[in-house]
Amino acid sequence: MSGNKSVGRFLRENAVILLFLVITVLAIKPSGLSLVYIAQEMITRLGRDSFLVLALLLPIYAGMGLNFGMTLGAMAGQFGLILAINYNLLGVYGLVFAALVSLPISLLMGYVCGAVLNKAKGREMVTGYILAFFINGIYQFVVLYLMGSVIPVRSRAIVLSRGYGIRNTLNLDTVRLSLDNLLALHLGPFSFPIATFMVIAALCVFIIWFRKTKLGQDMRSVGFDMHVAESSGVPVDRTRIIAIIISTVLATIGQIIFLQNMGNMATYNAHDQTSFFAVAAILVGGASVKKATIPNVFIGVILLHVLFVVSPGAGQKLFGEAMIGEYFRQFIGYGVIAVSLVLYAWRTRRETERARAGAGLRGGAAATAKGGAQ
Amino acid sequence: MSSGKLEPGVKSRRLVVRCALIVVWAAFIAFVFTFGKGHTLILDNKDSDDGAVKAFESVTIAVDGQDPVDLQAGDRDMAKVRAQSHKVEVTVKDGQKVAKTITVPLKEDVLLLSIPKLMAGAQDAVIPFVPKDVAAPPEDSQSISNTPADTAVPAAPAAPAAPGAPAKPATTP
Repeated sequence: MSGNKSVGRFLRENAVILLFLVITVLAIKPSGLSLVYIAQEMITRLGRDSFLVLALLLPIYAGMGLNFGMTLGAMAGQFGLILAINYNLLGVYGLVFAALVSLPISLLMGYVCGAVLNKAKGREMVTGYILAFFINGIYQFVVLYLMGSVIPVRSRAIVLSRGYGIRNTLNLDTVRLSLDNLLALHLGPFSFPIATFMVIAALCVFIIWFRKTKLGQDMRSVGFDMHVAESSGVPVDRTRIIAIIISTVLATIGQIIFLQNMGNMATYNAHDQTSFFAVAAILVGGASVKKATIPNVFIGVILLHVLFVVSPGAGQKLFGEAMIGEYFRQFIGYGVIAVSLVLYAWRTRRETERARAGAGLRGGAAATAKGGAQ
Repeated sequence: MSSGKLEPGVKSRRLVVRCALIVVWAAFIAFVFTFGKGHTLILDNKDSDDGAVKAFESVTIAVDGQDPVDLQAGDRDMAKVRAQSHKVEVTVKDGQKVAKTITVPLKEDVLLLSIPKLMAGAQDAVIPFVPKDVAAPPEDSQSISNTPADTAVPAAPAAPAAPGAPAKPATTP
């Protein structure tokens, strides 16, 4: 009986990850892709996406849920990359320049985002999502109208023919794969971007260390219970703002790493789905709105991207239309987020009901005992 | 976010640290800009305009240890370089190898390096290259997407964009 209960509990707690695992395993065979190819894709995509997904951890620790506002950081990173391309900065220097230039912008964006989210406690995710739309408008204004007219742009290759505004797609050839190839290790059929992995490992070490610091402990106590934290002297608003600022800065660097791997940038919408796919990945990895760990990040990136890689092939084979696989990606991404949020809401409600029932029971038992004593 | 109830000493120390951080940040940007800036060197093996310096019949040039380039008289080729100081190794027909160091101006993107002038020790061996007329690349980049080639699929039919609005390339990770 207790064995059945624990199996049921395991299934409930890992419903998303198990669902995803089953779909992925089923899709591998019809995709017709070799395991070596899929493994190499996973190595590449781990380097490409992990940093972005890791940027979500601190706001979760601080109880702010999934930071959809990380799109703000992604936009700052793209602005930095546009400047790096404009000044023809090559290789890793271009990436570092982009990160340095975008740092103050992402700090400001993080502060603004944190301050706004503090005004919307309990509704951080939807607020962050909408805030990203708002800042997107400002980004489009800067890139489409101010660059080339107010902000000087030297390179004619990136400016629209009318003389101002940046082109729809930028070729990032000067920085393409510069971090990945900085220290590439070739083992058999596999190529490992060691430098990128080292950057990701450094971030993991930072997160582990940060959790043990005073600020990290404050963040966790704020995430556990804001009111208790405030009563015990933790500056709740300040701590939450710091969590969002760090997340935004990390998202900036993550977007730069992502784009150097891709090699081109859709100027006006590369950032649109940054938070969406990062959130989907961490949820697929078994995280929830309240709890996430570093392993969740890597499991999620691998699972989500295996499905992304195999779904067009599987769609082609099963339905005779690769486009179905492409739509399937979108469907899966949004679906995972929806299922995770619904499961989280369901679990929270259930726990609340259980807690209420428990309190009632205890009250009743105490009353009975009291009555009995009389 | 800083607390307002700080002692004056702490306040001023904090201000100094913050200013120092900004200076370090700006210096780092300047460093990265100087050493990361890319230049295109046009390697030119032609007679000088006044005819004072003659082109080499055949010459091999290697810039910063890159693959050597063979140029006949009247030829031009191109080398992409980073930073300002560069080592140019010139091997003329008789096997004589000469290494020269050139410095390129930071703000120039494309420079013309005259090999005969460089070998003759002329001051104007490196000059900014001004193209007569350069047409901007066509704005046909909508076919480029963020979808890696190996997993790319035809783009979904999109609603027609408003006039002047930026088109949306695919952004699948």
